[in-house]
Amino acid sequence: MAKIPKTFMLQDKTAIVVGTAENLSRHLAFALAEVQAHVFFVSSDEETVKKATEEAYELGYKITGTSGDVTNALEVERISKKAFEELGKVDILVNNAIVEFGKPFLEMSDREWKDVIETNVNPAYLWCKTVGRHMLARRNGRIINICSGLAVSAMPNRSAYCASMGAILQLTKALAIEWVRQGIRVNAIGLGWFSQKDASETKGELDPLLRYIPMGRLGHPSDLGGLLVYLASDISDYVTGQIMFVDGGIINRP
Amino acid sequence: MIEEFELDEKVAIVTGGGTGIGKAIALALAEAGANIVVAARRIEPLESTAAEVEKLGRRSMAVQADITNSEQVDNAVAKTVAEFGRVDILVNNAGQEISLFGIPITDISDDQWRRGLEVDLTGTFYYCRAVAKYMLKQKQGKIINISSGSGLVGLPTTVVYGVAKAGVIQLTRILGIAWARKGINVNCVVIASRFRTEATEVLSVDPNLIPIGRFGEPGEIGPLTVFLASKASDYMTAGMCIIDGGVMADRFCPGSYFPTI
Repeated sequence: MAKIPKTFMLQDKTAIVVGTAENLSRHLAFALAEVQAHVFFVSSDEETVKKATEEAYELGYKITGTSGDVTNALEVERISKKAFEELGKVDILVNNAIVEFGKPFLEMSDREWKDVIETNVNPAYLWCKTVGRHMLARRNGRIINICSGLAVSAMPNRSAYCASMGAILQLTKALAIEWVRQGIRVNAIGLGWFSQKDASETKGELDPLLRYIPMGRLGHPSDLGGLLVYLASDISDYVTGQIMFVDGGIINRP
Repeated sequence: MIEEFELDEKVAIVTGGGTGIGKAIALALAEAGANIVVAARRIEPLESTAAEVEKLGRRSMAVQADITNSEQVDNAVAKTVAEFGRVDILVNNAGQEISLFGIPITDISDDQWRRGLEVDLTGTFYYCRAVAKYMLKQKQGKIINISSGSGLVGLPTTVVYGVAKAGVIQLTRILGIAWARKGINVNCVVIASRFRTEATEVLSVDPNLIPIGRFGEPGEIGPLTVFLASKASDYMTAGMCIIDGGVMADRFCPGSYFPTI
């Protein structure tokens, strides 16, 4: 069990973690639960939620949740009602409903462009709306949007993805300023290259990438928990409208 | 899942640890389990901080060192290692903002310019260079540089301080990349708003101009520094953590916090 100074604990705090069918959201939910937050985990993938809630139960963590289409307004309304009922109040919202996509710009169809933007930006929009309303009424809340180095830099064949990450970053700053006088803090975590696994993997084809990352390794899901907990807690009250990068140095490399 | 925040007998040097933010950082690191060396030009405030650290049950030592004198800086680090066996964490906090405040740019002397850079940039380099000697051998270390929003925006009253603090941000980037594979993390905390310390008491700034509507408290820098000094931030390096009550996100419109249209 990790040793954690009292100031970083989140007992009596509740959180909604929103994700898609990938592993990182699960780890974010567990990071908060490990410091005693009660977490409501929402994923578009039913298996992910089921496994997470079962494992949490075994370990004595408070994670409940449900699956659904996190990009759909009516679904978000339905799911958030369930979350509010179970949690009573919501202190923390973590948006990580992000899906990768890559295609040369001119080869991308209108449909694909629209899908990437909607899949990656709409959930944050919808969840910030529904949970934000609740947080404003309580004049208290923490929103953390999971974002990427591709919000401030770019790579080929990722135009839609980069645009969606930039949108998330700017939404973060805009809401931070709009709601700062109402006790709500909104920040982003910018990911570098991350692996879904905890152990280091050095497949041959990754070598150019690993050489390029200053720290020489991919990020692991466990690399994110600390910053998430810091930004989710009261001790970071003076931090808002910011993005902090967990990226092995990549965004600042020559 | 969640890495450890605890600092577990780690040895930390905090420059300017006698007062204000430096003191708050020293105490926060101590509360998280670190043993603390505080270094600065004046010994009395350092001894007061060291005493408070010891009350928390940690070991502490006060070392007098002029940050602009590299020999004294090297000795301060050597003394730390002699006493505690190693140095795990360096917080470059010492600096002086107020001294050139209010002086028209054209009246700044060569000496004031030089001195400002020495205190607020060169000193940080001296300490980084000094601890790196040990951290590279240990293949482990955490360096946290305290910088300022005046290193990011064009505040006319900070023509030397701001340039130095921008230099600290850049030094952080360069050292972070240089030592990324040597087990040393280098990050900076950029304080981009007014914080309530003895030094800043003399300035009259309207807190309402800050989006959050209040000054920062020195104690708020503590947990962020603990996080950056701990294993929990192992994959972060060369970067900035800006703590500012919303100031940097609010640059485009005057008083944009005020409810208008």
